[in-house]
Amino acid sequence: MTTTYDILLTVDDLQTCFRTEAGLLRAVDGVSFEIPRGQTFALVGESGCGKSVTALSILKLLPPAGISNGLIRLGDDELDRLTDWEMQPVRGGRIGMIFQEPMTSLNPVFTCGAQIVEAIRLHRECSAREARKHAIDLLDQVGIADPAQRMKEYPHQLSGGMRQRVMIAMALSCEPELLIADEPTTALDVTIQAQILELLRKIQRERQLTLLLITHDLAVVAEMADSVGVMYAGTMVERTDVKQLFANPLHPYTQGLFRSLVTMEETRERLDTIPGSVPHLSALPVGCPFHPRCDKGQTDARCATCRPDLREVAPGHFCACYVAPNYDNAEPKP
Amino acid sequence: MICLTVVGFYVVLAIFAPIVLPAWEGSENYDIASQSPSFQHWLGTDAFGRDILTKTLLGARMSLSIAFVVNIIAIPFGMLLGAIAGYFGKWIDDAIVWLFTTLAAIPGLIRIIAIKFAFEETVLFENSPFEIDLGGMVGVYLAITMTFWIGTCRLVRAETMKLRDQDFVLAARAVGRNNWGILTKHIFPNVMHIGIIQMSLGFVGAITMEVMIRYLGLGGSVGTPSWGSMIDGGRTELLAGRPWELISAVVAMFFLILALSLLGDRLRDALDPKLKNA
Repeated sequence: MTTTYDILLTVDDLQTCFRTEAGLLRAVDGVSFEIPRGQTFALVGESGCGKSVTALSILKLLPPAGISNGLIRLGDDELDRLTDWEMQPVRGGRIGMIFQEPMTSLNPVFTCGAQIVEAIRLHRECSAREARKHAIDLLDQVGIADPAQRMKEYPHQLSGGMRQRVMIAMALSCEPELLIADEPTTALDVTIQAQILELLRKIQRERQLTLLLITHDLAVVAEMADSVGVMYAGTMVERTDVKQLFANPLHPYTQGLFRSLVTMEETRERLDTIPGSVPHLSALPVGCPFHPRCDKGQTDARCATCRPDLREVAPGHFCACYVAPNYDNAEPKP
Repeated sequence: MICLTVVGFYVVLAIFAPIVLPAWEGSENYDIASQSPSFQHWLGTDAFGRDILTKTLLGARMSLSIAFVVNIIAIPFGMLLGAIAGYFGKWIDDAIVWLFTTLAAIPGLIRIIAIKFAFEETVLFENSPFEIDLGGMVGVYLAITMTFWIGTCRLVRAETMKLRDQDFVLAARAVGRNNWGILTKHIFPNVMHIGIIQMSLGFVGAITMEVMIRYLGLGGSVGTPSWGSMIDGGRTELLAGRPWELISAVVAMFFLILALSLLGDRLRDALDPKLKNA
């Protein structure tokens, strides 16, 4: 189904490791997905499951200890082959990024305006005056009242929501094709979250922007995403479009996530939880990384011996679980 | 503000002293040697019959010029190396840390004396218009400069290591800044306060260091007026019951150092965000 679309971003078999004193840690192990132009793909998972590392690997912004490997294609360009030097025009120019923590992602010693102007002039030949005008426009577009005044203010003078808007304006300054939003609403309170999500949706509509949304909030996924990838311990365990996922989650981990949600319809004494905790990357269990916590209780002998790969168990629905219906008949993903 | 005024007063005196005052070179006059203060010589005369007021002001000029030259070179140098070490890490960091720990391992004054003697006979660009005699004052400048960048380098390195992992540096990389751009546009403005504070404190250090070196009779010819050589010469005068030379040098130095130290403290209070609430 996705083949009829124009694919903007392809990530294939992405592996990212970190050299640590405890040895090589696989933060991301064999993650693959593609995002059609103008759509939103959400990466969901718990803290430390490799969502952010995936995003940083795409931009080649890993810390020095990180090594990544795998195909990353943006449009017709294979980003994984580019050097750091060649990546600089891509960062900001073709891919914009918004970070989780708006409190620290702006430089405290410069005004917001100066930082947006800087981002604009990095990628565009234009005068300071033009850049300033463009920056005011951008601030206006992201819903900041009195943009000319806000330009002159320092980050500490703005609230968290405002700063996140400034970050969005900065990310949009050079009209990127792809916007990576790494938990853009996690640090904000609920009413501001709704506003920021609404803003992202509006911008996406207006600019035909492709969005890679990283979140741990399934409500945000339901609101925003076209398709979803669920990650667990560095691997992608389920990938499908958002309606399928919510109607018919197949992986036990995804099912567990849904069960632990609070709904308005029913009353429960206790919320369901997934037993146990996320394994440390240096001590991943043999076999399926989720099997020690799985409520399907290792019904298949392979659970504890061999890691399941992601297979298309239903049209457009990929799942990495031996217990999933139709798994053994499905072709391993090429 | 008072300290800034005092420092400004010294700077003005140091700049205009040689214009306003009578010539220093060849002003020896043994007929009026070792006089007490009078209307002709407000602070008296030294053992060679030279005016002590003139000598004190020229000493201020010497001290301030050394402090200025040393700090203008050493502080930016220390900041640059510190930022590079802290930002890039790995072997670059190792090399720079090795350099300054090695230099810092030798006690301060001995290090300066050693550098001073090492360059004693060295003359750069000999017989050219740019001839530099490292044995003279330039040697003193060089010796002090070579040790004064270390403290700044350490502080800036530590601060940069902290800043390097901040989100805004990552954000700057995500909009396509290169390493050099991040260093100059994002790291430097955030460590600038360290440089300013270090510079005001460095003035104090450089002045006392210069006085010490000259007191020990190192660097420059004996005739060059300096507070260090005044204190040295004033010793013998003092034994003869004439404290004027010693008092002039010490009092002049006292107020300058006090003013600079206070200025440094005030700058730190104003610029260092961590001390703001203390």
